[in-house]
Amino acid sequence: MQSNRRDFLKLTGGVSLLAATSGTVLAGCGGSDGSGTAAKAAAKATPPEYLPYTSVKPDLPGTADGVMPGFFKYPRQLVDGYKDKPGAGAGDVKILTNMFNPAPPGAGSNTYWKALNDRVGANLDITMTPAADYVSKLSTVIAGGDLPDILMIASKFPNRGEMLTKLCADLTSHLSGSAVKDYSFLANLPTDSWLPTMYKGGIHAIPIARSVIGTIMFSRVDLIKARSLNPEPASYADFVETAKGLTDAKANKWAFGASKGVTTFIGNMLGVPNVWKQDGGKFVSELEVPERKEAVARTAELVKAGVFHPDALGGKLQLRDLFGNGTIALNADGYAAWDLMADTYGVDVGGMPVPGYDGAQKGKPVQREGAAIFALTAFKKAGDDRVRQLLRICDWLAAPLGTSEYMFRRFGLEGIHYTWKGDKPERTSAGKTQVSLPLEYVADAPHVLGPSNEQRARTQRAYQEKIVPNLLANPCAGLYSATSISKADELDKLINAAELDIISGRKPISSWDDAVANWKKRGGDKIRDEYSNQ
Amino acid sequence: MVNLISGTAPPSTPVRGLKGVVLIVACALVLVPFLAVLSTSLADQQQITSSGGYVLFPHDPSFAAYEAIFRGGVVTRATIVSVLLTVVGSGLSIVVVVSIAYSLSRPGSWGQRPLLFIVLFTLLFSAGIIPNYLLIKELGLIDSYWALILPGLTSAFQIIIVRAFFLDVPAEIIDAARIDGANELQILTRVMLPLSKAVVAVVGLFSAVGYWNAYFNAILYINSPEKWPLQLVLRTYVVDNTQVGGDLPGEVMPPQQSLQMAILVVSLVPICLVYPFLQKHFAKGVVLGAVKG
Repeated sequence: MQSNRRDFLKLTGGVSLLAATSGTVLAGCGGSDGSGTAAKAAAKATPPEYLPYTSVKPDLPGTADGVMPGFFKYPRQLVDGYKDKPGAGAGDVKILTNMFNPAPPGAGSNTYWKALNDRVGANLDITMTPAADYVSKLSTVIAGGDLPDILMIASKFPNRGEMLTKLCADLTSHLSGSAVKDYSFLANLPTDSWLPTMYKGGIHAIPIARSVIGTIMFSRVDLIKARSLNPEPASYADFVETAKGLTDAKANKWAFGASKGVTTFIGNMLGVPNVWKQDGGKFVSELEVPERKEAVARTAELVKAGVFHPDALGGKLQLRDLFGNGTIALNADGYAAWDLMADTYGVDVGGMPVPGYDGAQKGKPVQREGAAIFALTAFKKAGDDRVRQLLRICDWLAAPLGTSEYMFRRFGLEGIHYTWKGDKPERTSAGKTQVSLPLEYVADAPHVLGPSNEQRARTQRAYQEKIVPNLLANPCAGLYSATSISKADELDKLINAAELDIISGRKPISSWDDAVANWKKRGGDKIRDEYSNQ
Repeated sequence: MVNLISGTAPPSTPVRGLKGVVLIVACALVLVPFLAVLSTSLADQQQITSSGGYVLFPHDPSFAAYEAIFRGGVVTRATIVSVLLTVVGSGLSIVVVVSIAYSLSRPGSWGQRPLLFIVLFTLLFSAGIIPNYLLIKELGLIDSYWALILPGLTSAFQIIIVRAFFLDVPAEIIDAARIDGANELQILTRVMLPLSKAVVAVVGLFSAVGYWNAYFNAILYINSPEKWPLQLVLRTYVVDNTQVGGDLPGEVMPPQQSLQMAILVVSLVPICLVYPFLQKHFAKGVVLGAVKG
């Protein structure tokens, strides 16, 4: 392991690791990453074939272009994806991943964990770290030469490409092209999610996939209807009318609580690229197109028109709470927030499709694709047999809804960790605490709509069918730029500050050009070069 | 009426009233946030939502948030871990700091100057995360409670405070003890320590607060969740916006804000219980060390 540690210190610049004392770990890691070569070669590699798992039939089938499959209720006739124990013979398997749930009881006093080990056929020794500190933990563990068998690589981990190719197992022979057939649940992951796993002509990780639906402009449909407004504006003018109609300053009712999502939404109306676009073989940043500048200007006008919560520009509001209590009626959030907000607040939530800026329904409006992955899962270098064992364990964990593996992973053992209440599994007290191992951050099935409430699933489906034809991919999503990761915070702050200055009226819209020039100078152009050389 | 001792007239009623108002406002500034934390931990989702995040007077107090965080024993266990780490850590810390400070305070001790330089050096420069991690790993302490105790056992700041205090003890007292046949250990334990209760209380409190609040070492060195201290569990709730099991469609859980506030209350209770009894030593000891240094 000594050589591993040296390798890592070499590629991270070593010293910068020592500065990793706070949450902003490794932001300044330097050193060359060789990503250009990596991706050039990766372009020749074959992504794993996409073979949707067909043994479970959703109530609303997914579509090839990105509409998520939907379930009205939890399937009771479960399919057994595995007849045997996937990790048989693997012995101790050390896993490092992050977590968002509270820590569950340890393996010794957790019947779920014991049952998991029994089902998998291996002793899963899981080290879980709060997500906010995960990069610190990962960096330290790697530099200490302590690579676990399976480790989650955060998508913002610096020098990810070098890390994967030098320290982690090459999975190409196991997963490339049709080889993935041996792992039917990994083959069920969409191709888009595999692209970030590929470096230097090989596949070096498995993805923790996310739907490309991305961010949705959620609306309080009940409030909109109560005011006889249009929940699906057909143009920017309609959108402004709806926003103004929802605002009642005296009653502390506002259309919006944050500006970022609004700017993006207006940008989508104007057809702003999803981070980058290719124009005549050259990458152009969204910041460089005039429509992006216009979106900022329109948002500034809306702020001036008084449709934003008075504290909106401070960026510290509890937006979901304000949305839930009706103080704000429109809020941009990730697609997974739909169920969360509807269930938590018991309100009528809807998704507002992006209209064309001037009313055109085709061509101009876009819906930005979200990131296809949450993170990657890589393996420590090992022999083929060991890698196969680890892949089988991850494959088992990636089993989708409708399989017995999924039900066990999410709910544990029937009667102990959950019971059926009608069509819904309800967690017992033991289930609530024990079944919170962060296994979905080791490997996960693609997300689906539901299964909670048929009407809501249908509404979500209808929304997706409207926006999916306008989905716009980020052409750099499968490419790798070390600068885009190491300078992400700095460049984001620069643009956000400039945008805030304009939106709040402190600076004129003309200052946008200076900010973009500054952005290019301080890293934007370098990111472009890194993408272009791949 | 004239004050017979000072010879000055007492403040007039309006001035006293004004002072009272200022004091009440000052107290409210301190107490209202605590009240908000406590009340929010007892409030339901509807009230939290309608109030925009914090509640001052819960309509229908509920202990659901406390039940949720204590269910499964994770928080209970983390509290026990934190208490043990704090007691053992600060106890050992007192022993180590006092020993080092005493040896560095005795003129003519062997290697006094270079050792003092090394201590002061650590005040300015620290090793950094990776070297510390490697050291802990080489010592075989990964996933051990000792990995949380040993790195915080001493600090140059505390040594300087205690050493300054010891330097101020008159040499005659030490000479008298020596004439009576006391060795260095006896001088330290029977002469110096009884004279140094305040400064020992300071070291103990600094260490205890440090151990109680520490979470980052646990992130780095502890792999088993059952060994997590309370502050790390707290962090998962507050920073990561943890949902306690409520990640399933249709599953209604105590409000997120209540959970966060409840665990804040839990983490505050032990320090609130101990601090009032020790705070007089806390201020006194620091001032003594500073002035006499």
